[in-house]
Formats: sequence, C-alpha cells, structure tokens
Amino acid sequence: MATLRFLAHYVRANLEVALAYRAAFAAKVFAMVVNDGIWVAFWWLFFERFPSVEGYGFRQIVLVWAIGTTAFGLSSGIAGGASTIAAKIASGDLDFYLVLPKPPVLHLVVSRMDPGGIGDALFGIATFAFLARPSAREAVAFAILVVIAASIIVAYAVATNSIAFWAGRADTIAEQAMFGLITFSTYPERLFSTPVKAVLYTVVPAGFVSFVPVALVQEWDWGWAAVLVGVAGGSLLGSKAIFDAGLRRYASGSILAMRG
Amino acid sequence: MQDAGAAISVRDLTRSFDRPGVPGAGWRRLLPGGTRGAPTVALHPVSFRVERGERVALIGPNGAGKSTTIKLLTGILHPSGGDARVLGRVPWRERTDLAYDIATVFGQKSQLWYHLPARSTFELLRHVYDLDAGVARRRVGELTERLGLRDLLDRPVRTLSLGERMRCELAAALIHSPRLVFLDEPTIGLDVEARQAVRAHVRELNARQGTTIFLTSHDAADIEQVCERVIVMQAGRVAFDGPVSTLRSRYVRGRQIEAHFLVPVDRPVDLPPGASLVDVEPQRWRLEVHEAGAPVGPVVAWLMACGPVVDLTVSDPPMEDVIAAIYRETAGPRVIPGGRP
Amino acid sequence: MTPRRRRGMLAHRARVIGAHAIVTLRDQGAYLGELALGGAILFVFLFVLSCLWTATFRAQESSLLGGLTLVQMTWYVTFTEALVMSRVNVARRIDEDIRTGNLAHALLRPGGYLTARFGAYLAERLVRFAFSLGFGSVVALALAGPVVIDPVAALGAIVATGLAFVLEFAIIAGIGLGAFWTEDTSSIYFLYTRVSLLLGGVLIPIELFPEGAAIVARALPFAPMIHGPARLALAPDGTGFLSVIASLVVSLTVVGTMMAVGYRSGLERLTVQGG
Repeated sequence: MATLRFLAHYVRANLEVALAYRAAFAAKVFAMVVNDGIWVAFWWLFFERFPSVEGYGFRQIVLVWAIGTTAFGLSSGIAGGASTIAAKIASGDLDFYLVLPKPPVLHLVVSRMDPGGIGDALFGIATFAFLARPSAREAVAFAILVVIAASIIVAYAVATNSIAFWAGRADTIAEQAMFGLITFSTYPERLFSTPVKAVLYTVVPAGFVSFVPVALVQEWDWGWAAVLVGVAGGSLLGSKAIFDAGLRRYASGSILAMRG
Repeated sequence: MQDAGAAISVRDLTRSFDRPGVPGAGWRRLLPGGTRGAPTVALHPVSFRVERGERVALIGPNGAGKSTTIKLLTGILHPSGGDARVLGRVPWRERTDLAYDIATVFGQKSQLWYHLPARSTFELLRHVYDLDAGVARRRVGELTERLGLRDLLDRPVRTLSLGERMRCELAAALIHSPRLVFLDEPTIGLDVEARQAVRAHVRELNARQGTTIFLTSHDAADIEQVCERVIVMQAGRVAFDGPVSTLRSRYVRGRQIEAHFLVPVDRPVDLPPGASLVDVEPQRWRLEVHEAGAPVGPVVAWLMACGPVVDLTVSDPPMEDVIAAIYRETAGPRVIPGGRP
Repeated sequence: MTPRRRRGMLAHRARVIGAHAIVTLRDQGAYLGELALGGAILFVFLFVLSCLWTATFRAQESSLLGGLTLVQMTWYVTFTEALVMSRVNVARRIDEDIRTGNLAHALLRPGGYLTARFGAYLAERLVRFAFSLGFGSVVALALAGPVVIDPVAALGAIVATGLAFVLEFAIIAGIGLGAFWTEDTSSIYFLYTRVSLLLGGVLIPIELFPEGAAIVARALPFAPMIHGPARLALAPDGTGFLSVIASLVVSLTVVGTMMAVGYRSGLERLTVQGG
C-alpha cells in the first residue's frame, strides 16, 4: 500500500515536470496522435480496397490499434523509465536508486514519463470510443485488459533492458526488442504462421499484449482472462528477478572509471 | 569477530572488475568465453573500522579504490571477497534495511528534481522513506532553519545557485535522520563561501546528533576542517590510517621556515646542511628543513646572521602539499603501519 | 635532420595515425550499432508486411493486385522502405546551425552553405540507401524469392531515385530553414515523415488507394518520390516513367524556388539580428 502511494507520488511529480513545459509536452502528445492516426488511416485505405482479409475487417484492426496504443501508451506514459534502464546500467547511473530503501527497479520504471505515451493512450481511448463504438461490456473489458497488457510491456522492457548487466551496452538490443513487440502487436494475429505465433506467445509476447486482449474484448473468455492475468503476474515477477540477479553483477561505472 | 558496535567495520574486503571487451562489440560478450580480459583488481584486501560518531576522510588519487569502497559500503556493489558491516548490517545483503539508516551525498550527482521546487523532492522522499507526514514536516522545518532554506524551498531547483542547490541537496539527504552519512566529494565545484557552509553543516550534524561522517575529497580543507581521522588509499590498499595530525608528519618530512628582513638581503650563496630554499624575495625567504624532528636552531641562527630579521615563522607544510605528496607516490603503496592503536 | 630525430618523427606520425584509426574504429562501432538497429527494424517491417500481403493475395484469390504479383509486392515494399529508411535528417542539422550561429560562421567559408550541406546529405543518403536496399534485398529474397527486373526499368528507377533524393533534400532543408521563423522544426519534420509514409505509398501502392485518396496522393510530391521509383523498377511502362519524372521536376522547381527564397530572406533576418 505504501509502495503504491510512493509510486503515485512519483507519477505526480513526473506530471508536474511535464506541465512545467506545457507547449513542448503538448507538441509531443500531438505528434504521437498524428503518428497513430496515420497508421489507422493506412488501415482505412487498405480495408476500403480489401474489405476482409482472413476474417479481419476495419473494426477489428481499430480494436488492435486502440488496445495496442493504449497499452503501450500507459506503459511508457507511466513507466517510461523502463526503457532507460540499459543505458543507466552501462553508465553506472543506478547508484542513486540503490541507496534508497525502495526496490530500485520500481524507482527506475517510474522515474521518467514519456509524453508520447500520453499521446498514444489518448489516441487509443479516443479511437476505441469513437471508431469502435463499444458496448458497455466491451468498454469494461477494454479498461481492464489495457492495464494488464501494459504491465506485460513494462515487464518485457525491464527484462530486455536488464541484458545490459551481462552484455555491457544493450540499449540497441532492448530498443530492437521493443520495436519488434510494437510492430507485431499492431497487426492481426491471423497473418502469422504457427511457428511465428510460437515466438509471439513467448520471446516477443505480442500474443499476450495484443492478440489475446483483442479477442477478449470481442468475446470474453474466463479461461483466457485467467491465463493473461497469470502471464502478467509471472512476467512482472520474472523481470524483477532478472533485474535483481543482474544487480549482483552491477559494476557502477567502475569499469569506465578505471579505463580512464 | 565483527562487532555490531562500530559504525563501519571492514575486513579483507576485495573487489575486482572484469575488463570490458572490444568497444562497440557489446553483444559479443554474451557469447561463452567472450572477449573478456583478465579482471582488474580495484580493491586488494582492505580492512578498517570506524566508530560511531567519528568523522573520517577517505583520500587517495583517482583509481585508488575510494569510490569502490564507498559503493561497497552502501550496498551498490557486491564484493569479490571479504566482509563488511555498516551499522551492524552487511550492506550488499541488507541494502534496503541499511538505506533507512544511511545517507549519501554525491557532489557531482543531484537527487533533486531539476525542474521542480526542492519541496517536491522532499515530499517524494517522505514516501521513499515511509515517514509520517508530521515527522517529515518537523524535520523539514528543522533543516530549513539550520541550512537557511526558507526562501529556496519553493523555487524550481534549476533557478538556484550551485551553493543554494547544495544546501537543498544536504537537506534532501538528511530528511530521514540518517545515523551515518557518506559524502563523496561534497564540495566539488562550489565557491569558497558555499564550501565553508557545507563543511560547517556537516560538522554541526556530527556535533549535534552524533552522526558518523565518512567523506572522500581531494580538497585539503574538507579533510582538515571536517575530519579528525584520515584513511589514505593507494592502488587499492590502505596506505595510512590515523589522525589528521600524524598524516602530515608521515608524508611530508620537514617544516618550513619563513623569515622577513628589515632591508633587502642578497640571495644566499651557501645553505646550512639539511635545508633548501623554497622561495626567495629580497625581503622574504622561505626555507624547508628536510628531516622531521631535525633541530631548526642552526638554520634560525644562520638566518639571523644573513640580515636583520623582523619576523620568523616555523610551520608545518600546508595540507595541499601533504596530499600532493601522497598522490605523487604512484610507484606503489608504502604501507605505514599503526597510525592507530 | 639526424636519423635519431627522423625516427622520433616517424614514431610520432605512427602514433597520430594510430590514434586516428582508433577513434575512427570506435566511431564505426557506434555506427555499426545504428546500422544493426536499422537492419533489425527493416527485417521486422518487411516480414510483417510480407505476411500481410500474402494474406491479402490469398483472400483476393488473385495473382495480380494493382498490377503487381505477390513477389513484386514484397520487393515493392522493400524498395519503398529502403527509400524511407535512408532518409537523412538534414533539417535537424540546419536547425542547429541556425540556432547556434554556426550558419553565420559557415557563410564566411568559400562555397555556399547549402551546397556543402547537400554534398554531405547525398553521400550519407547513398550509403544508407545502399545498405538498406542491400539488406532489404536479402530479406525479400528469403521471404518471397527473386524478382525479375528489366535493365531499362532499372535505369528509369535510378534516374527517378536520384531526382527524388534531390527533391527530398530541398524539402527537408526547407523544413530546417524554418528555424529562422519558428521555435520547433523537429515536429514539422516528424509530421513530414508520417504524412509521406501514408501518401508516399510506402505500405500500399497508390494504385490500390480508393479513388479520391489516389487523386490527392498523385497531386502531392510524396508519391513520385517514393511510390514512383519503386513502381518504375518493378512494373515499368513508358508513360509512367514520363509522368513520374515530370512530377519530380515540377515539384523540384516549386520546392527549390521556395527553399531558395526562404534561405535568402532568412539570411536577411540573420544580418538584421546581427547574427
């Protein structure tokens, strides 16, 4: 409980900073909304010409984009620090978080807010409300599922960024991994063959970030919902375990210092 | 063996680092056997003990192992071997518990939120340290009083001067009333006045609350004015451990003698044995007597014979010279046993 | 000069060369990281798009969409992606030069500022394009198999690509020159890249756009810069070539004039403000 209050305070401080530079903040939010809008416009063009591909229509792709942008937006809008971990490990900037009594990975994750993420989330929610025209049941499912999906994304970012404990510089690897997850999460599941799906339900978990939530919004299934919650919990705990294991190897910039 | 009474006790602590591989080939280090070189030893077995309430300075040239030591004692790094207790805890195993009792001030790194007023950081830290609202308010009030922060708390940190920021930094570090404070180069980059203020506050903290102070610095005055004891590290080993006053005599042998003459005097041709000229102006000469404890009488007598002396001072060399002498000793550690009983 | 001194100088020179080599290698290391990132992004993109088009061709039960086969479609997106990913952000550099006052400095040197910028842009763009197209071709080959390209068509595509590179320099440099008047050119550049993604036909050829959208796309310079060269390489036809070249030349004239006028009046502002 105290931890939640502490996290809430962090988010509030991030917001205060963002609002101190209102114009720049708004520009970044707007840019992301335009970016997402362009993609949805592409899909609109596409489905104008090909009304149905593998059983997917424009509404399905709108759901994919609404859930995807909201989940990714929430993850980087609230926990934007996750994607900075690799760089901080390499430069020895973890020290500050290690001398404080709260779990360092929690600190790190909420230490930064990405204004683009806010744009993503706003776009996703607006798209869902106006283009998908959801029923009340769909809306409730959406609200729950995006939070679960967002937590899987954060766990994924923490895990891939933690590679830096072993590999030294890993920000490029982590960036590639995140790009892959985003890309696969924004296309229909049925485009992919079974071996590819096997990857998408494991190492690049687009299945749990996008495919399962999209299916659940359309048609609720308690079994799949339970699986999703389990995956989210497991990946959060797993990523923290990876981070903590890496922490034992943390060199705190001493390698760099000693080279000089 | 390790008693819980000491603030810090360190026994045979070692740490080595893997050498980084080829630049830009980070991923290759993932492969078994990678491109890793032989490990570099940052800390040879190091042992020392700091009592509660002591004020200790850790000094040494860059790369001597000071930062590694502090990072091990705060739980940031895991050691390669050996044992340490800080306030009775093993730092790398009980890092979180220890964090409630210690504070760190890194002169070059800020924990204040740059774009927000310091008060916001304090409020955040209250949640980080799980402090009651009432306790935190009292504590902030107290620190505001002592550090003179009244007009600073509500201005965005980026608008503060370096000295003002450092005062807020200190307050942020002390908000949870730590029992042991680590200061890593706390006065670096500050102007004279701000340096003195920081030193005064640290001394006062120690005097009022018995807080143990453990600092690293290259600044002689930080050491002289704040600390009573010095640990010198060289090439990953403790080279000296003892009172500040003994440090001087250990590293710089000899004393300086300065003479002022009534009238200009010609530069001397010969010097008395064991003395050398440091600086000569027509009416002021500065000499050094090499051997510690060597009688200065003959040199003084010789000076008197050179001309009409109006003033004469015999002094120890300044701390800067002492530190410079320590840093010059790069050839290897010269372990001086028993600075302390 | 004594032999001893000569040896000293040789040693010195060797040291200097060594130091430069190391710095260059390190630089290369950073560059390789960027290339690896670009390569991975290209791979994921092409893979997903090829999945999409495979499914679309299957659903349409047709072997030709917008005049392209599935294999050609995969190579089409490879070519458009390579064009887009080789883009060099000159706008940011020009923007920085204006804000930091480097521009005023550069004006003192012989040779026009924009000419120098163009040279650097072209070199970097060609290298990036070669890498993107080379790597993309390997991916496309693995995903869809080889494609037959008519040599005459290739020549037409090369001419169009060259013109497109020049036109895009004028556009991007023009955005950078916006720094004379506005605070934030980076969001204009970002918007430009997004709009060209859609209206350039990067993901879907203009032929497959709904009619109204196709008309808009053809009227703007994005399509001839991206869709044009890619299309010419894969499904050549004489009138297509002429119309692409014609719209590139017209766009280049219009945008080039605008950029030149903007540059001139920007420089006047610079002198008025005292640089």
